[in-house]
Amino acid sequence: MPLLTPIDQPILTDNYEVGPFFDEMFESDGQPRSHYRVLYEHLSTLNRQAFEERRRAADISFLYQGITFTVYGQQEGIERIFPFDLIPRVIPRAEWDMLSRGLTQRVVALNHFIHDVYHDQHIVRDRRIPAELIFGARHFRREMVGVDVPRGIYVHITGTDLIRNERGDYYVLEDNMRSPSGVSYMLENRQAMKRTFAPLFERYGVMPIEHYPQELLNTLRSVAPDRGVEPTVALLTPGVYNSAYFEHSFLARQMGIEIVEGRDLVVHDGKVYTRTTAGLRQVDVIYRRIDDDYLDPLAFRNDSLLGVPGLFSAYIMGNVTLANAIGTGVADDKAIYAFVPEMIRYYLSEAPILHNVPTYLAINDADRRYILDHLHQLVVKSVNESGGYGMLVGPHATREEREMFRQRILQAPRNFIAQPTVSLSRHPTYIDNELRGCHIDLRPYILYGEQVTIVPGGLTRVALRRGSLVVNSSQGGGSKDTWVLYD
Amino acid sequence: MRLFIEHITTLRYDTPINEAHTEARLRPSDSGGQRCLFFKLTTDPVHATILTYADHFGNIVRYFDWLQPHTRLTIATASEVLTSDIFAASQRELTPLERYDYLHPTAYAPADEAICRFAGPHVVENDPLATAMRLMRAVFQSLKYERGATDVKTTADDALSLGRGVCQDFAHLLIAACRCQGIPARYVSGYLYDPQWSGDSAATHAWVDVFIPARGWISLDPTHNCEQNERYVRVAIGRDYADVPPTRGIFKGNAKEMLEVRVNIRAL
Repeated sequence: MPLLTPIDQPILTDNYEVGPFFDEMFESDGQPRSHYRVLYEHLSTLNRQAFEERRRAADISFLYQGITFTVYGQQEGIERIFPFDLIPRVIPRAEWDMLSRGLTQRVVALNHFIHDVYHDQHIVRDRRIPAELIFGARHFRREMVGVDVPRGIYVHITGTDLIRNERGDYYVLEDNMRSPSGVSYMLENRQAMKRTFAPLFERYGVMPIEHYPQELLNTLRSVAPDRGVEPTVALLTPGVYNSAYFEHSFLARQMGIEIVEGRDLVVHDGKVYTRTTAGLRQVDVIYRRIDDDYLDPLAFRNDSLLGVPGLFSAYIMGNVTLANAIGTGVADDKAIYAFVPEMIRYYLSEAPILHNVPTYLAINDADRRYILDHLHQLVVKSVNESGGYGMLVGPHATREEREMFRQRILQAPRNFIAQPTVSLSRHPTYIDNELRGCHIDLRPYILYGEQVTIVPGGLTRVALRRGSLVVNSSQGGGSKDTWVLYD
Repeated sequence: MRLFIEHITTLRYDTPINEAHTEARLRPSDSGGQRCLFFKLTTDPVHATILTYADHFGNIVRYFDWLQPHTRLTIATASEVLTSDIFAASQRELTPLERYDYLHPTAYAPADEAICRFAGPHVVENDPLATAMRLMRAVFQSLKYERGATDVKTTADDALSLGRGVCQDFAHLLIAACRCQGIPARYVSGYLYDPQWSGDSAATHAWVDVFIPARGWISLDPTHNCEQNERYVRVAIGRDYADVPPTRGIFKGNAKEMLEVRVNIRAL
């Protein structure tokens, strides 16, 4: 590659390599796929200068809106602009319809599972899932046993991560059922694309996603306790130091609801109120972006300063709805994930539409032996971590890192699962003045209220580090707009 | 036996606190042949609204808040209970969660090596009831009842190595010993009526239920090496003490809390 690229050179050059991966835009012979043809033609005419201009415009708009996220684990509180790539990912309608059906099926089955776990536990009695796995899950909340939630819905908001293998088959990587984040980036990316690529966007026939905040608000209202008044909904945030605070304030603004911290709420006589200058106002639904552990220091961790004392009492008496419900984390435990296809068969008597990635549970003797013998090939994940933390990517790990995980697995097998490394599909992405294939995934957001609603698209995350398979924003990933087409 | 119980808890603070939220597990249960004929909880300052719900163990919880600044809270209960000669629970099978919860170690009743070594010699092969009875006697003989030797945070392994404790410690040690032998065991909090005692908290008591296949729950008191009888009043059950404290609260303010408990029981 020349050190200096002429500014009039097209960004899509002969250097582009499809490689041994599934490329979203190109067939293996280098021809653009039919749903990408318009984009391809547009990119072929776009030179570096023109592209850079649009990119700067987009970057500035993100910066002005303060779209940043915080990286944990390295230094405290490194704030970055969430890297945005201007090359959109395109999904044909038929493919989306299949995904949408598959995601709906999955979320409905998982919701059945959560209800069952906190009621009669049929799935355990029928020996489909070991009791040990469920009751030993860190986010299993025995306090929720016997508690009924409005409409029987626990997971009002799910963010499911989908990947595609080298043949282009879709797989579910995980179901995030606690406080999935990232939807604000989905919405902002769309705004940025509409501003910078207006004519292309117009021509393509892209299904809208802008109504997500309204759909979310409808979902939240649909599960409010019935007290004969228009329900009041509030968003509960841990505060400005949380990595997703931007998103919390963004969503609250978009929905026109109040954003509150624990100290802004007070429980009195089993009801929850916000403190306003005009006195106390009752809250019916709390879209909470705080983990179960920190919700109520009386019921859960008593050292929590983020929560609201007495909130759990108000909750189990049915005076306030929490979204998501308390205890949904039992369903996004990575060991429980392995049983989702079984849940679909068990609760719905249907065949799963979307596949799971094959998963080995270290708690099973045979699986554990296999994992330990194949550490150099597998991805090992800690069952309760999210965001790409606590993970070993065997093929890329050092001998020391593998040895460390071997010890951790032997010490606490319940806490680990392993999966084969999947060669994630790639997508043309602008890096170093030209387009290169980078690995991507897709996180659609599934809303579950009166019915299941999925706005067409989601957050496409892209691994911007060369060769990296980790697409999480906290691990140096970026994102793209996702275009689901009408036709 | 028909018993009348008065239980007065006074919480004092050296500086004013506010936004206090309190949970009380003080209502005698209707279980195993026991009936709670009357129960009333009052507070000073007087709370207009006292809410009631059942926790996931089935214990009745009273909950109330007091938002204004205060330096004292008194919680007084009066109960009338018809006790049962023997604990007679009809449950013949554990739910999957009960099986998990009552077999797994907890913070107060850990799967400690010393406890398993302590339990080992008392095992009667294929006879969990005989094992549990022998473990009860072993706990009774291994700990000396001594008030003040332990505190509310003492765990079973600590009590065992100390060789002393109060009913809470006896109960935790028996629970831990049973669980490490595969016998489901749970903590019972309540009262023990002794006509010779009165006035202080001596009447609050803790003991243990063990689950025996084909028999169901059997209730054992390792502090006195006997089965639950008509002098016992059951209030709450849980995995260990942490699930069933008589009162639990949280407040705003940087104050030191002083707790005073008085219990009176008399036969009617």
